[in-house]
Amino acid sequence: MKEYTVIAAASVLATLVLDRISGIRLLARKGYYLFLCVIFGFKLLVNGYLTGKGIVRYAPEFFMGIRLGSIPLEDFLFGFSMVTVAVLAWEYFRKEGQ
Amino acid sequence: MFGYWNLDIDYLLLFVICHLLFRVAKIIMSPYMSVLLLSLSVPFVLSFYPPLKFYRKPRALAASIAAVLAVFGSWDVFAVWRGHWSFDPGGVFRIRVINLPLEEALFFVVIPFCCIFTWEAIKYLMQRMRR
Repeated sequence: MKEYTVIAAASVLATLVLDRISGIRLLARKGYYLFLCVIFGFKLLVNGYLTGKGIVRYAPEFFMGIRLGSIPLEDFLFGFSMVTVAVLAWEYFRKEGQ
Repeated sequence: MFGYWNLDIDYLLLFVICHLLFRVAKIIMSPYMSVLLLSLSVPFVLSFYPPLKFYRKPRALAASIAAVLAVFGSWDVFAVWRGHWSFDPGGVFRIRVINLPLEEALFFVVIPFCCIFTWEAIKYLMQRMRR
């Protein structure tokens, strides 16, 4: 098993657990899937540029080697966790302040 | 005759100024920094649209960005330390934050901002469509 693959998969699991235990339950909302689609589009642009131009380079021994265009598959897991945690944190702190 | 001449000088000046600005931008901008600024531009301007209200909660916004920066920034620091990925010195500034290029550190500020903006915009639009 490759390190980046394992960490990325674990981060997705941790994010899903966090979504449940925080009670925010983004995955139960329709708007969240629309959000993911929009972010996915921009992710392809930004991440595709950074990996396509070789600004970020990946060591073959740490990821599976599967790429969508120039983007490693693991980056999509990283991206999913990051954007979801960002919205979870926002929903949490937004309500806490009231 | 002089009228035309003046016009030409104006265009020539404009061309020279644009050319110089472009060359300065090429020196002070890294490709990665341009990507970040482009990503931020539209969300930043539109975030002041009054019904979105989210700039009225700067503390929650700062706390959310800090959380993402801490968690995913640490992951990035670890990954670069382990050698999972590296950065082309030609694509980023020389300034480093721990072992990350400045742009990569700012990525964890800009992208959460863009995400929260998109999320609030979608909630707002869906609410409006329901009415």
